Amino acid sequence: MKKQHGVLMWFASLGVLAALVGLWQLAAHLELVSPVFFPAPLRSFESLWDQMGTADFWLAFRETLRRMVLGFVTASVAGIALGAAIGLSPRLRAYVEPTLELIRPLPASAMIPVFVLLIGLNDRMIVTAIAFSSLWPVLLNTVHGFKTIEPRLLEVARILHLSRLEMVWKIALPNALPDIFAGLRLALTVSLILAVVAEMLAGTIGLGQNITLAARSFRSADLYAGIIVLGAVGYVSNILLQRAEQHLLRWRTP
Amino acid sequence: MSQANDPVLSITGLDFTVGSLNILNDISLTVHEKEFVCIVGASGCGKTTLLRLMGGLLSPTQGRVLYRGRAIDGPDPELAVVFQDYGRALLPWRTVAGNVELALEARRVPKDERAPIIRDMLERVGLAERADAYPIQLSGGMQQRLQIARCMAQAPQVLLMDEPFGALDAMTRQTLQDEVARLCADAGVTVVFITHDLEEAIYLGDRVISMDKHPGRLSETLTIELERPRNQLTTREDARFLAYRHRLFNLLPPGH
Amino acid sequence: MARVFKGVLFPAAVLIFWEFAARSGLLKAESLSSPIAIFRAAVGVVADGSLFKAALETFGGAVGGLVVGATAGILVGVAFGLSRHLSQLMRVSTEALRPIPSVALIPLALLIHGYGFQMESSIVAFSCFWPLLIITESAVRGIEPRLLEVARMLNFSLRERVTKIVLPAALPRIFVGLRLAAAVSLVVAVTVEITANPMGLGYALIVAQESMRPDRVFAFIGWIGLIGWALNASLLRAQQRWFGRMGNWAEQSA
Repeated sequence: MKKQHGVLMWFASLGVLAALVGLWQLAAHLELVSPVFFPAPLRSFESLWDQMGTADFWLAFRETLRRMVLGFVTASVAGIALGAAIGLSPRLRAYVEPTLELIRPLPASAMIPVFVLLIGLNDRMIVTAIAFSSLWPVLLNTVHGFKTIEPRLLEVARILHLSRLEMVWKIALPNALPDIFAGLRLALTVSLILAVVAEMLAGTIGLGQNITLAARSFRSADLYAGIIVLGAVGYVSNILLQRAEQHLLRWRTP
Repeated sequence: MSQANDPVLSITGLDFTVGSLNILNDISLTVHEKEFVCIVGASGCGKTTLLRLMGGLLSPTQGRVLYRGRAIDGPDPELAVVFQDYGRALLPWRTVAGNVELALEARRVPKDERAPIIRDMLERVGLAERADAYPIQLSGGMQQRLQIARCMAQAPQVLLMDEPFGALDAMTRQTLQDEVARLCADAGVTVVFITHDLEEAIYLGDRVISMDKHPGRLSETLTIELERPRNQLTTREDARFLAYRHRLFNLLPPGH
Repeated sequence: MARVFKGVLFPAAVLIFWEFAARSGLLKAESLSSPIAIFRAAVGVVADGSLFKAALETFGGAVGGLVVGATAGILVGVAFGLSRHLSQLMRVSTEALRPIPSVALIPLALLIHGYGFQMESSIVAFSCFWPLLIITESAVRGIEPRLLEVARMLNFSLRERVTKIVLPAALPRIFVGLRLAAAVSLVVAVTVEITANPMGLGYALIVAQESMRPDRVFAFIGWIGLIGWALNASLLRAQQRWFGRMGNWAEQSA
């Protein structure tokens, strides 16, 4: 009964969105809003459809996605490995944690100019900037996950005489997974943002470049289409991560 | 070959001090093979500390704990500890069966031999039906049973239980008391059982030792001469049971 | 004391090594500068007033956006919290808008407003809206039902209910959301400036990069980090001072 109600509500909600879009379409049609700033939704969808038929679009799409994934994966692997090492060692933490806390409040994109100076305005700079910025959420959260192990479980490990490797693999790592995933979610958001920003600055082929050019030439339908695509990328990547999280953390929900 | 009266645990002149606070003072205790010893005392008297010392989780400031003649210098799977906060001692990401399996992994039992042992353990504690459930899905009593099953899967010589039923309701407590008594008798383990509940101590124990506080010190020992298996109704109404209860009640400080 | 020493040791060692590497030519000083040069630049940007001017501009953009976005987020959050139906009906619409990375809206904002303060504030407002919406909705939902029953018993109007019961009860958690949004507003403002807007601290970074002055780049990065940290620390102090006394209620919510 409740599930049916939930599904019904979801459709009603979809209807609300459709109604709002419909109102916008009407307003654009009646020229109540500027067609340049708020083009009719149909035109944006049309543009999206047309773009998806061109090879250029898919090239830009692949480039942006490639950079995002490359940066994100590199940052995740490094962040988890380093975070585990730091989190498990109170001695290392004493030396390193204060520095980590200093880095925390820095806006991720602020380091881009440094990378431009070092590497130039090219593809490598973009991937480096993405990887560097995505590293911190994963690292910080992983450290937290590994340093806050339930002490009772550590005692159980000692009583059972588990080896250090066994302790890390069977107890520390599963315990840290929720924190690690929280870090990964943040890092994913950061990678998308950095990809767009870096692309806009570097002027390389990509989705960020697409919307910048569209805005400059006042092609607002193309611009909105590009925004929709970026929103979709954000949405889908998040869902994928969520699925992975739900699968690996099955034991959490009763 | 261990005889019926061999000391399993032997503690002499044990002191435990933290900073300037003397928590345990001059503790001496001998626990024999297959004995069920209950230590009873008010909260804060140091019984948990004593148990942790016996389990090798703490080191004494003075004195030693001997397990079968050799000094304990750290925890050991043969001395299984059943913690009071059972929820925190279980791995939430493993199923009921998985939690029991952890002990078998520690014992290096080959993979293909594990399933029957796990099934047997779970049947003994009545959790066979919930083998695939996660700890979070279990009630408090079931979680504690799971912890006990995991500890028994360690094939321990000694079971150290720290107020295991303190967080459970009265009915569950009584059921588990009988289960533990039966389990331990069947497995032939030596038990040290900590509680603040006088009647529980008398009901379960072969010997009940009372503990003073500030600093923690063992005072009287009562040998319980009630027949086994014990019964929640008849044993508790037995005149001797009531006499023991009187003795203990007078031994422990007021306001207990 | 030993703890402070240990925490300082690692960054101090890094700085010393950096200085040495820059001087001995191991590192490209044109790209990475050296700690002493950076320190001098950091002092320099204060002395020549450029830090103050840039910070003021960034604050303007950040605060302007924060006020609008947070207020909107709180109002909608209260509405969603009080009316489950409203929240459910708007579910698909919010889920469709939320994944859009705020930076993707930069070209749109440029199109509509051109360069300047308004364009930056609108992006900041978009970014601050979501966290406050989510946190406020959750805070309102979590209000002790007994209090709402008291409101019904006393026959409060909607406005009275919201102002006398709902908002005060949800306030501690909303304040935590505001702290979060303040940090976000700073980060987003700087990001917008780096990407497109020629004003503020982010733009100062770009200018320093384009004039090949890595010392100024790092100096500004350091100042941005410091400002961010100071902002969060002072808000945290305020939170503890205002809500700390109220005991459990505030603590549970925060």
